[in-house]
Amino acid sequence: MNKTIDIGQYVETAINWLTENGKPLFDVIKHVGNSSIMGIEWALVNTPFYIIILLFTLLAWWKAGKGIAIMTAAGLTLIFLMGLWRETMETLALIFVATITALVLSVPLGIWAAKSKLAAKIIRPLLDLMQTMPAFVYLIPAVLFFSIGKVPGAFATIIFAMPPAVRLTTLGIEAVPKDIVEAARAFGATNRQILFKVELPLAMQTILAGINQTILLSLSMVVIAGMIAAGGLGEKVLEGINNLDIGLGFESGLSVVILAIILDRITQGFVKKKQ
Amino acid sequence: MKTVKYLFFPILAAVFGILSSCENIKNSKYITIGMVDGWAEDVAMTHIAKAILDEQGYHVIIQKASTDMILASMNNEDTDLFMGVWLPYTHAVKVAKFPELINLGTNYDNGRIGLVVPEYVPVNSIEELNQHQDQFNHRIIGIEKGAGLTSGTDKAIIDYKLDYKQINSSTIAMITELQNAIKRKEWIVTAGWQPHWMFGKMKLKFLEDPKKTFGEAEQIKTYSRKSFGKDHPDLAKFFYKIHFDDKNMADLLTKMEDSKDKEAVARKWVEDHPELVKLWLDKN
Repeated sequence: MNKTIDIGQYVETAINWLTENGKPLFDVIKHVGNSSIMGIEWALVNTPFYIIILLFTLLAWWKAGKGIAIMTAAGLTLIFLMGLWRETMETLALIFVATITALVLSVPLGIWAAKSKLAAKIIRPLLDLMQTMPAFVYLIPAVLFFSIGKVPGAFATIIFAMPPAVRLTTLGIEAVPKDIVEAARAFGATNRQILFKVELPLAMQTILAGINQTILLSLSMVVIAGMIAAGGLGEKVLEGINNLDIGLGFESGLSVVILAIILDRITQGFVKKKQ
Repeated sequence: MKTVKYLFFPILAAVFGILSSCENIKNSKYITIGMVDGWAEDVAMTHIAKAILDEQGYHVIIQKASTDMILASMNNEDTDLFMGVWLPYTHAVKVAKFPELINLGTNYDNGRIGLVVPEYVPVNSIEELNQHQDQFNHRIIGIEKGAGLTSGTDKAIIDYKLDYKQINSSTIAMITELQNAIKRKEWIVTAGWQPHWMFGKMKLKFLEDPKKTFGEAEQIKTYSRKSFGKDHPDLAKFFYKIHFDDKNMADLLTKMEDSKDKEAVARKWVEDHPELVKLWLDKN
């Protein structure tokens, strides 16, 4: 192995510099992240399971119809009966916080990329990197910045799950017919009004599709995040793998699938409603 | 959609507020112990420590991750303890990266790493491997890339001039290969370590290592973050005293492997060994 170019050392130097100098900031993020994930987790775990099942079923009914509602109730009841309720709620809390954070970051980025050619030039390759870099690689800086636990798990998940929301936001805004924007401008609308009253509402369906993708991608990171003590279903899957426990591995994997299908159908419902 | 969007943030903010006010982790009764799932001895000892300390009124949180991740987290002063450091050989390089961590003494003396074959394979030493490459398919089944045992195996291949390739994937893949080979009575050589539950489930033996590539017996030690001794002087003493002899370790590992509920096994084991636990908890 002869190295003529050592890119890794620069990355390492940068990450180490960040670890040294960013500690106060990372500690704040860690604290806020931990409290929010733990808080949501506490709420989900301490609410009786049947109330949560009922809420999800009603939401599914409202957004995705009767069939999905029945499946939601059955799926969540199965998770409860398999004894994986607590872990599922832990995972849900992690996904919730990661998805919300990803959206808060990615929607403005997507708008910016749609509005400015230069921003698009910079953001697009970054997104390619975030999406195609093997997800395990994010675990290293995540642990160096935030130690092991839920926050680095959320951090790695956010990086991995952000790109589709950014891309689809950009796409949605770019697809707004130019003549509608022209008309709004002719009526004296400001840039801000055009964005909030014309472009975003028209792009909403595409943006929601992006949110749906983000949620699903964050679910696929759950198991990987389990490798750094993020808890939840990922940890159970790994426990099954590490102890050759086929039953446990399958049950926890199945719970991830059920959760994914439910969240997917409900968010799809939001997308369809807009049509 | 709009109303929902506006509701999220007040709720989140309220949650932060409530939690930030009742969070005081560092000096509280919350203790975090890093643990590598799948390392039988580490899982067993960590659960014993948890069972004892939970009774003492602490809240022990077990964090599952890999060795390097746990060490890095301890270096950040976050994770308190790790009970699975193998020295002087296996983890020497890994621990040297984090000079600030504190050694809290030895938990077990007779750890061993090396090459392992099923008992029915008539080979007894690493030196004999080169006479049987074909039966073993020129392969040594290793564990994860980057593990101490993996670099040890690479070194053995050089030291003994073995005409073998090490195949690395994961610990569990290695064990699965081993089980399948034993089912079919095939020849297989793998990288392995003791204490481990695979020795309880299968009839295996270590190959002799005349060149001492894998070193002598290893100690398994507890390490803690830098200020743990300052924050919890009593606990540092307790972890310093924890020690398992061969008989206790074998007994504990067998009981742990037989049951799915590790916490219950640990509680029962602590109940059955009051003398030992009293000795560890002794404050002098």
